[in-house]
Amino acid sequence: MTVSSLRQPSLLLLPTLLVLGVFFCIPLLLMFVVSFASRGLYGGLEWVFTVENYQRLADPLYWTIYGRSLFLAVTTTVVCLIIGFPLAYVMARSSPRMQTLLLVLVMIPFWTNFLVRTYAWMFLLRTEGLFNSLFLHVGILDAPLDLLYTNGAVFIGLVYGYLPFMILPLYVALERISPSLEEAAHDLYAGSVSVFRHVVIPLAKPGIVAGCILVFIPSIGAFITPHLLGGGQSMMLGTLIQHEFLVVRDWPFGSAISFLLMLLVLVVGVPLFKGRRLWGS
Amino acid sequence: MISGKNPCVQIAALTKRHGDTLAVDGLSFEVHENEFFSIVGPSGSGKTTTLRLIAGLLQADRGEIFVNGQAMSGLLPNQRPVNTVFQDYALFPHMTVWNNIAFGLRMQGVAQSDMARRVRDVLNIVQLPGKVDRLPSELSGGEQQRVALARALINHPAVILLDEPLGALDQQLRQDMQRELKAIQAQVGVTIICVTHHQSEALLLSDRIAVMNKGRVEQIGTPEELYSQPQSLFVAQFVGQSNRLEGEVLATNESLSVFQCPGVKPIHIFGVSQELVGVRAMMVLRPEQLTLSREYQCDDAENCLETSIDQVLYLGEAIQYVITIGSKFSWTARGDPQHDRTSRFRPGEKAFVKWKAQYGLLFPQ
Repeated sequence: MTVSSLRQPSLLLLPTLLVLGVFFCIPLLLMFVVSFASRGLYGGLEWVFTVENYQRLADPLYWTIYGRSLFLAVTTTVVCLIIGFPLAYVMARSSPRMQTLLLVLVMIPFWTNFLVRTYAWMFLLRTEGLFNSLFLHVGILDAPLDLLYTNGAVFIGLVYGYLPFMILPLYVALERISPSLEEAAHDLYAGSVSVFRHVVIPLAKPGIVAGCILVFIPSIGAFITPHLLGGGQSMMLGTLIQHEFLVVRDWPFGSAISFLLMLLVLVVGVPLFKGRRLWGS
Repeated sequence: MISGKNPCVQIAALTKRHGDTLAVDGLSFEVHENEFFSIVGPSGSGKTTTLRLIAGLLQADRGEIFVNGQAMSGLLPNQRPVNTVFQDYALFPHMTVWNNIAFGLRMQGVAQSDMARRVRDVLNIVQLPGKVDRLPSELSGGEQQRVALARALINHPAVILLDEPLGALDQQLRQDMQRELKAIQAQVGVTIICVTHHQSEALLLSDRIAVMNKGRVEQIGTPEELYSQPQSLFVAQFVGQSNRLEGEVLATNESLSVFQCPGVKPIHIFGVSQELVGVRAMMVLRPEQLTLSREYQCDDAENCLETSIDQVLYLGEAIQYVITIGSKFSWTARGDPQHDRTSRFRPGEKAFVKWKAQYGLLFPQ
């Protein structure tokens, strides 16, 4: 390739466009078509056009699952933000050596497979698990608690799994805020709370939005966490989709739920994305 | 209190340790009301630490700072009647010029109507009306500097602290802002403490200057006192250009002393104390005290040494000659560029350098 052809930006986009086109757009289009097809008697597809799959989405049976998914995803995002912000702030204001150390600590969980880490949580939360044994032994409890297969277990698993995705963009945003801006605000009669409210948080906004998007989207569509920690008791959209595709073998309805999930992500995600550019430009 | 003025800031035995080093070591001085007071010194001399201690951004280990008679220790930056203009301006990038300037008033809960009037007034003082809706990133360096100054001025603090105020500006803008800074101070009447490593800027702007070295004050005085009567070699070298010659005082009577540097003929100096005889010392001369000539002419009250011209530097308003004295001392002298071009000295030429015997300043080593 010559230098001049490399200067054509459109050519540089080609690999990405190819991968996205072949492996994302075409399957998505297929799913879209399938979502309007009918389920065969033995779980196959019958190419008969119907909107019944989308009508079934309104069945009250599924509303608890939608509600739970939305509730758990929003709570996870908020809690990750509350836990992540102070940590990211401390990281951003540490010495360079400390920053590296803390960054490595935040990322160490990624060195282990997510599935394995979720199994570890099962071990901790089981009726005979570490927490229950400990509480019984110490005498806080008389009988073991049902920790596993609850909304609480799914929530803990989601916060645990997606916290780094909140911390990293927050850290990047906070690290870019010059400490002299905080000093200037402090010097101009702002107390600690006002410094945070008027300077740190507005300037960290791009990081806050990015972190929320990065936590909310995978949380609302999470599969492994609700599947292993929630079981049949605490189903979410992700587990419902898997259930429809692989257990009930109703591909058309599974596809329809997938598009509902996409819609939910868009409804929450797009305004967030727009809000990202509220200052500067 | 020398001039009978009221003290605005009093610093008493201020000490601050950074790790193992004493950044500020038992510092004491006073700044008068409406004075432009500069602190100069090389990097690491503790001048910025002193400024941050006054602002409250650092807390002192020992000692006390009084502003208008009130002790500052234990008070946070937002509780002190002091505002800082930061080196990088530290303007809030997400706020317009108006909001940046009004920030201090807003934090103090000043009424909206009063706020609008004060912002307008201060914008006129710094000559920046009509830019209130811009973001800092849309302003030039000079304009950002004005906003930073306005943001401090609007609060009517007892003292404004300037941290390397003009460091980021280019030469032309710098000179304009220097003049303006003086004019603004005269107009609004405010005490200013300015930290700079730019000694010529300090000379130009200040009523008095403190020269700091290794966490201590070497000398405090008016620009003229520091330049013409430096009390240590450090001050003589730091303030203005200096030509040095190392040697020994051989003899002295009530008026005239003889100073000997190996390889250079004996030099006469007036007014050297008896105690300096036999002591190794450094003699300092200012470039403008030297005259270069092609002929040897010397009376009793003058010194004249043979020298060679190393470099001729054209500065526009002056010509700077770099000359060699003895075997290892390099001096600078000034020439008049209006001088007939043909009579200028050329590199490599032999010449004589002459100065009056009262000019030599001696510092024992």
